[in-house]
Amino acid sequence: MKKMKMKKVISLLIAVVFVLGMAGCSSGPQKEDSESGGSEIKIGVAIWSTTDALGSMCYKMLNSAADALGCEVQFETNGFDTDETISNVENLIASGCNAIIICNSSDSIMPNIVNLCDSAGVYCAQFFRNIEDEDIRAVVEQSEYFLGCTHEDEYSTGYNLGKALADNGYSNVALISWNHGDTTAEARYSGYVDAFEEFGINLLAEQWEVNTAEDGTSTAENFMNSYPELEAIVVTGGSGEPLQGTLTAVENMNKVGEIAVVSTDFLEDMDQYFESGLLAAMSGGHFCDPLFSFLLCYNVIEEGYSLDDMPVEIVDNMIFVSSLEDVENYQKWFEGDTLPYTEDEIRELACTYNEDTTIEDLKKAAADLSLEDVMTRHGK
Amino acid sequence: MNKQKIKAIIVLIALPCITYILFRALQPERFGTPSSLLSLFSQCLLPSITGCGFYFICEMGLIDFSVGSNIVLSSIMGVILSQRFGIAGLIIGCFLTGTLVGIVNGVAYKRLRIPSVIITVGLMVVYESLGTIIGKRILTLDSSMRIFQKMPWNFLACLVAFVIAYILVDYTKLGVYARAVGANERAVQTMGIDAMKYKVCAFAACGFFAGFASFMTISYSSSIAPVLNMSSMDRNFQPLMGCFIGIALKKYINPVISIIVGEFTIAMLTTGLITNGIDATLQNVFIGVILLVIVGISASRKKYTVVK
Repeated sequence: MKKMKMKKVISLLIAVVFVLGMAGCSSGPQKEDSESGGSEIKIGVAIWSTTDALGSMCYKMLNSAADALGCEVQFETNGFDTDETISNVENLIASGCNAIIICNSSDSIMPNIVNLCDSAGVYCAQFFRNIEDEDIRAVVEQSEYFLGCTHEDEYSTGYNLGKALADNGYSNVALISWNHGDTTAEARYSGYVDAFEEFGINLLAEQWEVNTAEDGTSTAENFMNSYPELEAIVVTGGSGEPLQGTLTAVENMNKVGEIAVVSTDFLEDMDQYFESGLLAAMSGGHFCDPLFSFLLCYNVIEEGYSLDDMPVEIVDNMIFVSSLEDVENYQKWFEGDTLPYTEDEIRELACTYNEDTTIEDLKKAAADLSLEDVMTRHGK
Repeated sequence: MNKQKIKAIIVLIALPCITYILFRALQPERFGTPSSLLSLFSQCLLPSITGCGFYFICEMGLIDFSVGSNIVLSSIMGVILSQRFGIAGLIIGCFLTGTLVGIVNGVAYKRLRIPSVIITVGLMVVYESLGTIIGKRILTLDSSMRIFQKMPWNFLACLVAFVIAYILVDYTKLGVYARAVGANERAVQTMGIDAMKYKVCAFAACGFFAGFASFMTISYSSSIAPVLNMSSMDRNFQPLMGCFIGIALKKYINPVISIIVGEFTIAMLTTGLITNGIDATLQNVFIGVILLVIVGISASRKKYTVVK
């Protein structure tokens, strides 16, 4: 009898662990009401991860914004999985969010997401993304709850880094990318390929679906073994892991100085790689992107922006670095004690604190964001 | 040596040889140089270790989908402990976490008595979440602790793993009963053997090899990021493919050898397809079809074996 009871208790405990685990899996960290806490506004964030290099900075920036504005933010993570993204949105709606900002993995899920938001009367906006497909865009933009998007010009990101390779005299390159079908990956790839064609760079090989560090290492090793003429490896992105793996492979094979790496999405220790000459150029540091979508939603909910102006397209900039000095400046002014936007600067763009702010101010802030802009604002 | 055994050995030798000759003929300048073969062999060692762990599970008709998340969690623990206790922390963190996770899987399977596929998927999300809570972000192994990144140390470490697996498969009760349970569990129980006990041991062994693989993985690529939403599942597939080849040929050759040869062939296949400009999606189609053909050919033998 006692044994039976014990079994029941153990089973119950395991069940509790399962439930907690599942909850931990489907939800990212949740930020409670900020200290000022007077507002009832709650904004949901559907993001791929809050733990990698870029995702963790987005998490930090959005929490800072929520603190500044006295609202609540809730994160749900999806690892760029399409079904999970839709589940994220359902969960965020169910948890009472007034608006949701989404980093969607492909255009095709946007009609579903907008339908969900329309049914629930919840505003939504994209971050790091825009809709490339004209038909899908037309459908989505009919929704009165779709507010628009913030995105970088991903094509230009690829094109500029491709051009940087040409400017540095590289003519034989290989490319590593993450998943086919991802709008950002495809746009960056197009930019790279166009730059390669325009500047006479030979794309020797490419490998997609590389998502982990060890896949990055093995792919880069295979490139270096199979293509002795290889001069540079492009890692289109993937939030750090494939890039880190690629850098390890170049070091392992003692090719530092012979093979340069170019990529997007900054690493924490990229200063060391620039110092050794392993990294030739990088773009990234665009973690303020979701802040603009967050502010867009906030200002619409607080009726600071007119719904007649929606949807809007906000374009912000990647930060480009190509020297150790650039990296040191970036680390000091973007990831140091103060974020690129202070709480006062965030409030300046919020209608509850600044009645005169307009959507044009938000667009301008996004367009102006650069290393120089932050250094100037924060008193270099 | 009987006819079937000769056939199995021929299949095993032919696998890498045909792959090599085919791609070498297609890309003589790009594919198959000695340095690239060495590199490919080095790459196939990681999934081979994991594959050895999978063998004990799959051989008993079970499955463990939490192995990928175990590798991620163990690597994270290894890196964190290495920051405090150096190389000893790395080794203990990886091996201990891996084995503990395996034991938890086994005990949960025993207690809950639900199919292993369900329990390990459930536990996979638990381990992924734990990894995220503990690791928080991408973790990098300090360069002073990457001694098993390069030859000959990586080869030596993997050799130790394979010797352990070889002995476990052929010279221990676990290996023998794994085959027996896989062939006919009821017969094993009728003989008075506690099949469940050996299933728990199989999960523990799988966890140990996952811990070993995590140690080699973090040494090889030097960084690991926590993942969520079953993203760790990807890490299961390549080792599983090698494991299936091992199981298909187990009657004639120690599965550890078949697993290594299978993984080496898969690594060659992937690189060969890359050098021929085949897209990643199509690469997976090729690999999947070839796996089915190999296992299909190898399994064309008597379906049922008598367990004595």
